[in-house]
Amino acid sequence: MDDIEKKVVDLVAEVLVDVNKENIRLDAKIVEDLGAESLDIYDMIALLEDEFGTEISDEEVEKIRTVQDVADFIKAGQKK
Amino acid sequence: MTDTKSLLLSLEGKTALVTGGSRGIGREISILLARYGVFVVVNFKSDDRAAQKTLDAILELPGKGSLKKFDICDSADVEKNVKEMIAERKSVEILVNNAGIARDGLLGRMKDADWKTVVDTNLTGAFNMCRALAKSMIRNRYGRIVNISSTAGELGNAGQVNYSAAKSGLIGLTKSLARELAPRNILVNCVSPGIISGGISEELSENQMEAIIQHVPLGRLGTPKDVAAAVAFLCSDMANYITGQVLRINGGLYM
Repeated sequence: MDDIEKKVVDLVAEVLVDVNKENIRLDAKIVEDLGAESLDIYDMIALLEDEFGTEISDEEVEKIRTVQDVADFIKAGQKK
Repeated sequence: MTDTKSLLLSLEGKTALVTGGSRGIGREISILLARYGVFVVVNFKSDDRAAQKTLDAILELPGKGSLKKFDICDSADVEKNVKEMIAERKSVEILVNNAGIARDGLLGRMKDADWKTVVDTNLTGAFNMCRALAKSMIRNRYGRIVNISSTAGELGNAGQVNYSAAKSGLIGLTKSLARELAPRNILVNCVSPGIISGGISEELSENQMEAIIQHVPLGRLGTPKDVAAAVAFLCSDMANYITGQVLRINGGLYM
């Protein structure tokens, strides 16, 4: 896992307090596998926006399924 | 076994923002919360002198607080000021949406501006404030939001179509938000005052007042302190299992 992927896992674990961080694999689906609810998603988006300084639009949020998707999105945003 | 005083003192060290805190009910809410150790940020729109007097009263207790002058109807202004507040205070645990105005008149003669400004101040302002503060409350997994509605919003009142609509709207907002934010330990409740001295009701004539008091089982007007006590209670640990409720402070005017 690279630095950004590690940070994303940390942030997901921070929001999903009932999930063990070791169980957060990069291919885990945030809703289906980790049990995130809409308030959790909102919380995660806000945290990520603050942490990485990127803004995530509603359309972009729709496309995100797995933890890897989040990390890829952040990395793409950092390149701009 | 924690005693009553320390349960209430669970307010110690918290930060509250009270909108429209410079006068009337808002002033008493600000002072009472400060009495219980809350750092109270008193928001006001224009009455600098009254706001300063309220802050002085807080500091004299001795208590802690500050002033923040901004218009709750302006969402950009709200976001900017809330951001500043959170930077200063690290977190704002308590929000009291108290700011409210009335522009009474019969429907047929009610101007667009009278409708709009009352709905904006009483309802949209509360929405703006809740949205701005929700993020940090969600992050901290703690929040207490108290919205000040009115008996007018529950019973209706001729000549107050705008005010009743807005105050009733606040109750709907309260219930939805209570459901939405419950998973994050953010409790959202309403206090619904009846006819209270020293506030908007002061504009009624003596005859009107007397006529209304006939309908109050306790036979008198309420005081701003009566309302403040309810707000403090709802913000405290004593109210940890209370959310989405309307606590009526009206001497029995409406049950």
